[in-house]
Amino acid sequence: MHLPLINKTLSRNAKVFTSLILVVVVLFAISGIFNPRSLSPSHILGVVRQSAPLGISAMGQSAVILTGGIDLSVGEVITMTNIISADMMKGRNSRTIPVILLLLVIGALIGGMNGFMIATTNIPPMVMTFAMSSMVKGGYLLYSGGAPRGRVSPFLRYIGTQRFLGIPVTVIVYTMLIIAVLYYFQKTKWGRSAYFIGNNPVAAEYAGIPKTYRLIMIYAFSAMMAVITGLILSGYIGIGTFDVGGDSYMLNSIASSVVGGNTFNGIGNVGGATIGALIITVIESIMTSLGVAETGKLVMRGVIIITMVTLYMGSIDLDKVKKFFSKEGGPVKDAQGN
Amino acid sequence: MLQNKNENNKLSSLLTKHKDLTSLYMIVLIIIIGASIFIPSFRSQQNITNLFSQMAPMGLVALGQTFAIITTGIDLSVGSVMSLATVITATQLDPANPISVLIVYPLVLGVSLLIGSFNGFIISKFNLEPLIATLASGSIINGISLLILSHPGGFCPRMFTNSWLTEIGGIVPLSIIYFFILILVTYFVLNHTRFGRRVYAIGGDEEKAEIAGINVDKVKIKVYMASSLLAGIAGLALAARMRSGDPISGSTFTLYSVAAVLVGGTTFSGGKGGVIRTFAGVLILSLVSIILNLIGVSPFYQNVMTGLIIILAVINSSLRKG
Repeated sequence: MHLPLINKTLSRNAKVFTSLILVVVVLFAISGIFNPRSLSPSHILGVVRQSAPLGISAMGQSAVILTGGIDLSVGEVITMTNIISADMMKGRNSRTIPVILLLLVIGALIGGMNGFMIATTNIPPMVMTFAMSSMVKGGYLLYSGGAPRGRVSPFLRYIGTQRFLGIPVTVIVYTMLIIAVLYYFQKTKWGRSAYFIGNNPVAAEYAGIPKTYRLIMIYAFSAMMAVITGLILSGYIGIGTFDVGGDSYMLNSIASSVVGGNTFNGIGNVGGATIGALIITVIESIMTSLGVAETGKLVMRGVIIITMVTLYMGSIDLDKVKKFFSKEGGPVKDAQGN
Repeated sequence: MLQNKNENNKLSSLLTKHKDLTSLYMIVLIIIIGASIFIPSFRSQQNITNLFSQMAPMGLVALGQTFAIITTGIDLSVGSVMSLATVITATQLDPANPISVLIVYPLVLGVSLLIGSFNGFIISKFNLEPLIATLASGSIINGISLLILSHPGGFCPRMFTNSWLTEIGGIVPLSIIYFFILILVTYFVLNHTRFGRRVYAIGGDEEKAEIAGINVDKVKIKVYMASSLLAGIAGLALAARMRSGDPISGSTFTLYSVAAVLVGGTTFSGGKGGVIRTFAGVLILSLVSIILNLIGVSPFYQNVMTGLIIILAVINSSLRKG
C-alpha cells in the first residue's frame, strides 16, 4: 500500500534532478556560445565556487521550506557573521577556530529561538523569522557601532579565494558539506523528519516525532548554514562590511530552493537546492557577460521561479486554462448566476 | 426554541468578537494616553501630523494585504508595486503640464490592477503557492522599476503633492483622510457585498466554497487585484511624501504590511479578521515607531524593539484566537 507512494516520490525526485541537470547543461552550452572560453574546467569550477555561498544558504532554507515554513532571517545572519568574524579575528589565524565555533553557536541559538517559538506558539514562520532578522540587524549594528572594522584571518582568506591543485578550496569545502548534509537528511532519523513534518504534520505527530525538538533543529540548521555562508563570503571579501549582500541571499536562497524542486509540503530534496543555486548563478553570470543590467537579472529570477514551480506542480489544470480562454465553456456559474 | 438557541449563540459569538476588538483598541488607547502623559512632544501638533502622514502609506498597503491574508494567501509583491508607483509618478509628472497629473493617476492604478490580475491569474490557474508566486512577480516588478529609474530621483511637482499633503486645519493631511475613506470602503466591500462574503468563504474552506458554487479563481484574481490596487495608491502617497521616486523605497513595506495585519489579529488560517483589525495593527506599529523615536532610543535598538513587539503582538493575538 505504501509502495506506490514511495515509487511516485522517488520518480518525481529523479525526474526533477534529470531536468535540472539538463537545464544546467543547456545553460553552460549557451554561455559557451557567447564565450567559448567559459567552457574550460577552471572557469566552470569558478562558477561552482561562485554558487557555493548561495547553495549552502539554500540548503538550510530548503530544510525549512520542506517543513512548510520559511526563513527570512538568513540574510541578516550572513551580514552578522561577516561583521563579527572580521571584528573578532583581526587577521589572526589563531583566532579562526574559536570565532567560527562561537558564530556557529550564535547561529544555532538564533535558529533555535526561531524554531522554538514557531513550534510552541501559533506565530507564522514568516513573521517570526522576519522579526528575528530585525533583531539580528539591531544586534550587529549595536555591536559594530555602525562602523564595521577588522579583517578575517589568512586561513579564512585561503578558503575563500585560493585554489588547491587547481580546485578552488571553497568548492572542496562545499562538496564535503553537501555530502554531510545529504547523509544527514536522507539517512538519519533526525534529518528525515523534515520531510515527514512537512508532508503530514498530524501523521508525524502520531508517529511520535517530537515536533518541537525537530523544528528547533531544522531552524538552527538553517541559521548555521547561513553562518557558514557568511564565513565563506567573509573569506572572499576579507573585511567586515555591511555590503556583503545579505539581503539578496534571503530572496535568492528561497528561489534556489524552489527551483531545486522543494515544495512547502515535504516533497523535494535538500540537495536539490545546490543545483538550483548553480542555475541561478549561471544565469546571472550569462546576464552579466551579456551586459544586461540588474533589471534583467531581477526579471529573469522572477520568470525562472514562476516557470519552474509551474512545471513542478505538474498539476496545471489544463481544462481550467482551456475554460479560461474559451468563453463558451466558461466556469460553472454559481447560485446567483455570477 | 431552536431558533432562540441559535440566536443566543450568534449573540454570544458576536459579543466575544467585539470583546476581542475592544481589547485590541484598548491597547491602542493605553499606548496613546501613556505616551501623551509621559512624552510632552507626543502631544505637539507637528508630531500628530507626522504620525498621520507616516501612517497613510503603510495603512493603505496593509488594507490590501488584509484581502490576501483572509483568503489564506499572501501578497509579497506589494512593496515592489509601491516602488513602481513612486517611480512612474516621479518620471511621468511634468511640472509645466498640469494634465500630466490626470494621466499619472489612471496610469499607476491601471498598472497596479494589471499586476494584481497577473498575480491572481498565476496563483489561481497555475495553482502556485501565493508566497512563491508573489515573491517572483515582485522580483520582476523590481526589475522593471529599476529599468525606468535606476536611482532615486525624479520630481513630484506641487500640484501633485498638494492633493496628498495639504493639511486640513493645519493638522490632518489629506492622505490620512483618503486612508480613512478607503477603510470604510474596504470594510463595506468585505462585510456587505457578495464579493466580500465570498472572500471569507474561500478563506474558511476553499473546497467547500467551490462546491457551494463560488467561482474561486475569479474571486482570487479580484482579491489580488484589490491588494495591488491599494499598494498602488500607497505608492502614490509615498511618492507625494518623498516628493520623488525611488526604485527600492517600497521594499520595507512588504513585511510591515504583513506584520500590521497579523498584529491586528487576522491570521493565516484564513476566513477571519478584517480591515478594522488591520487598522489597529497599523496604529500600534506606527505609534511604537514614533514613540521610540521621540524618547530618543538609538535606531540600532529600534530594530530589536520592533522585532520583539511584532513577535509579542502576533503571539498575543494568535493566543486569543486559539
